[in-house]
Order: sequence, then C-alpha cells, then structure tokens
Amino acid sequence: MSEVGIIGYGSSAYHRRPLYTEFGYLWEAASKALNSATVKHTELDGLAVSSSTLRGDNAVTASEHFGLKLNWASGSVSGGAGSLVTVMDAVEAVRRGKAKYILCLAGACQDKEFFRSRTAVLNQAVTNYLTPHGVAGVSGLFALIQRKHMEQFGTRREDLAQIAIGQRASAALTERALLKSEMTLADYINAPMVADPLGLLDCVMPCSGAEAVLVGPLDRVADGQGVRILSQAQRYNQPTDDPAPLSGGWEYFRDDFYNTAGLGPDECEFVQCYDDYPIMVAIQLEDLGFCKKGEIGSFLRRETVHWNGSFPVNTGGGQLSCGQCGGGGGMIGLVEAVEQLRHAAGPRQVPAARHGVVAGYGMVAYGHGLGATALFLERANA
Amino acid sequence: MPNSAASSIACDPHARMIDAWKSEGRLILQRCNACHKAIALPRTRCPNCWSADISDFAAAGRGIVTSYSLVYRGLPDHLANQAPIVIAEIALDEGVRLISRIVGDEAMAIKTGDRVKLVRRETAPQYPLPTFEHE
Repeated sequence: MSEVGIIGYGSSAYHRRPLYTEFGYLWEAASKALNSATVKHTELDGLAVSSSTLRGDNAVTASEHFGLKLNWASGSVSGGAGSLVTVMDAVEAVRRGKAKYILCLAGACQDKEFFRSRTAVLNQAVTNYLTPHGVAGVSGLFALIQRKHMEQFGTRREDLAQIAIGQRASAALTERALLKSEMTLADYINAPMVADPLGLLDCVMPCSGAEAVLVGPLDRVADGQGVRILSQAQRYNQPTDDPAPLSGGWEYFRDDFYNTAGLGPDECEFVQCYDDYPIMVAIQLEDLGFCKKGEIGSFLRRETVHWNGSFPVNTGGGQLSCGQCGGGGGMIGLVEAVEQLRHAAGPRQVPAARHGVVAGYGMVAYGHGLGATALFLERANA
Repeated sequence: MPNSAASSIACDPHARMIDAWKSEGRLILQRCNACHKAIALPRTRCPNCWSADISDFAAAGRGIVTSYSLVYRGLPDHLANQAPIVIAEIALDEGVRLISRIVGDEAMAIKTGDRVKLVRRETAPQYPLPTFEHE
C-alpha cells in the first residue's frame, strides 16, 4: 500500500464581511484542493470540518450539502489547534483503510461583530469568568501573557514588531491577504492601543474564508506534489494552574516530536506558527526550540522572518495579514506549508524548501489556549 | 450563567460562588480535603487528585499582581464608556491565580508586584465577579 500524506491544498477568497455562506467558503476551498490533486469529488469518501461557527452543522451535514457519500466524518474540538488534528486523524484513517481520500476543511463565515458575540460565549470558562469582567474578544488575555514575557525576559515591542512586519512583507505576494500594504516599525508602535501592551497591529482581524487539504495515497500525485508527515504531536492543558503562561504544550512534546521526525529544528526551511498575536508566534518559536525560552527578543534582532529572510515564518502573511477565518486560522499555515513544499508559492517561494514545521494553537478558555499541536512535513520525492 | 438545566445554588459550585459574591462580597475558593490543594475555579471534584471530598471556603481576598493590561478596545457596550478598564492576573495569598478586574483610584497606575484586595462589600454588587482594588 502506498504511503499516505497530503496530496492537495486550496483556499477560498477571504472577505472582511461575508459574501457567501460558510458552506460556500468551505466548498470553494474544497474544490481547489481537489483540483490541485486532480481527484474528483465522487472519489472522496472522508470529510473533516473544523469550524466553531457552523452552529448545528458539521462534516455530516456538509456531506449532504456537497453531495458526498462518505465512509468517515470528523471535526475539531480544539479550535485553532484542531485543524491540524483533523489532518493527523485523516492520515491515520487512510492508513487503516477507513477511507481512501479525506478532505479536511476549516473556515468561517463571520465579521468582527459576529466574532465578538461568538468569543464572548466561547466555552464555560470564558462565559462564566472572563466575559463578565469585560475581557471579550480575548486580546486582554494575550496582553497579560505579553506583558509577563516582556517583564520577565526583557522582550520589547520593537522585537515582536518584526514578526508582524515580516509577515506583512510576505503578504504583499499572497493573493487572498486582506492586509497587504507595507508595515513600518512606526506604524506598528504608533497603532492605537487595544489592550496595553497590544496595539491594533498585534491583533488578528476576524474575517470570512476557508482552507482545505486533501489526504490520500502519495502515489496519486506526481513526484514532488505530495507532502509526507514525519512527525505529529498534540497536547492539551499544559501547563496547568497558570492563566497567563509563557509556554504551552509544544515545549512538553518538543523532544519526542523531533526524535520521531529524525530531524531537528535547524533542519527545516520555514516555520508556520499559529499567529493570533505575535507574542504567541514568539512563544511557539521558543517552545519548539528555534531559540531558547526568553530569548525571542535577541532572536528577532538577529533574524528576518519574511519569506526570503534568514528564518522564514508564516510565509504567506499568516492570519495577521490574511485575516482569521475561524477554524481556517488553524489550517492557513498548513496550506501555506504544502504550497511551499510543492514549490508552487510563486513569487514568495522559499528557495529549495524540503522540510517545514507547522504549529497550531487554540481553544482559549481560562486565560489562554488549551490546545497545542505541530506537524513536521517533508516534500515527497521518489 | 449555570451551564446545566439541573443547576441550582445547592448543587452548582459556580452558582454558590456567584451568590457569595453578590450577597456577601466574598470570594469563594475550594480546598480538597484529600490532597489539601486550593482550587481556583469552582468544580465538583479536585482536578489534582479527583477526590469528591472538597469544601468551599472564603478567600482572604488579597494577592499580588503578576501581570496586567489596560483594555481600550473590544469592550462590551456597557463598559465601553469606562475605557480603559484594568485587568490583571493575580496570585492570591492562598496560592492560586485568577484573572480579575482592578478598579479604584490607583488602578490606572497599576504595576506588576502591586498588592491588591477585594473591593469593599458595599461596592461588590456593582461588579458581576470578584473584583479587586489596591491595598
């Protein structure tokens, strides 16, 4: 039996205010993912949908809407961390013969007002203990984390700015990015305060859109068009008892993650991190061993993170530039990674990309995201 | 908001916490009688040892600020005219951490390491959850 991996990818257009339904966005991304693999929808027998905005709908009701007959259906339970989990589960399901081609979709149909009302009642902890204090929209929570990082480690806003600025430079070359104009350090520092020390350019913009990847046998696509998963990891509620922690589950699984991959953090050409806020990109880079804990400031003074920089991060501009389409924010990095590893990223192609690390983060509850995920990917050549 | 149709003040630890705050201005924590760990958010069992033998107790209501933020934007309508509001992570003297709002004359000058205490009982009903001010 052929090796199993990612054989297709696709994205919908992104909009600040929705132009179609959520199924409409998911379908557009789905169609592009199938086209990129020349797999027909009638061949699909598995579907995963990561969304926290579909209300009662899910992969099963999507099968009716999209006209699919399925052997396998699944979804995410960990927000922005869960989109990667659906892909891990899909690979396992295909390996076990539960299905042959599984499409993993993630997205949202929302605007800022919808986002605010949704996040106010995200789960029990947020509803009961954060929203009543006025901490809706979650930026205040990440402000607590960033201030603690700044005060404990001397991290400066000017350092974290390099993440937002570098990603924006990549976004200029990304079709679906909603924010493409050049960002200067002055723009970043002088942007209106949202939740001190977070300014407006630290905060992801909710939007509508969708992302998709297709999982199946790697021999279905041409040489160099498939992506192999060398290692995968997920960890929840780590650390505990700390509402504003400076590390997450990535730190816990890091050593096993690289041991399984057989490659280390210095053996990939790019990293795609979950970027709801630059401080979380910083914490993922530290936890995943790209620099030591607390040293992101000097790391960012030494490296440049745009697609052609010394250390490419979120090479399609990430959520901070494209916008956060709900669960799609957990898959945008994976779709970008697949595009890079297929050498299909056009003007923002990372030279000689063979390996990449993708990290996920999500399900904010009492003060921080409870889910941490990661994939180590490899371009599949014969 | 109770999250189950079966919730009542007697059987829902969250409802007991809210009631103690609104009626008496007290912050209710829990302690496990098996492993003696303090528990910050109300539950029905100890998340450390899973014992169901846990008791509510009133916290001293004092702690130290471990991080904070002045929130200017994204506030709900009823708080928007008070912007910025101050929120903080507080390490309570009982050894657990909470995220809470800081109010009062000194709130805007908040610094990490500041000592804070629960607002006075008379003002408690103005706030939906236990809320702090500088000592």
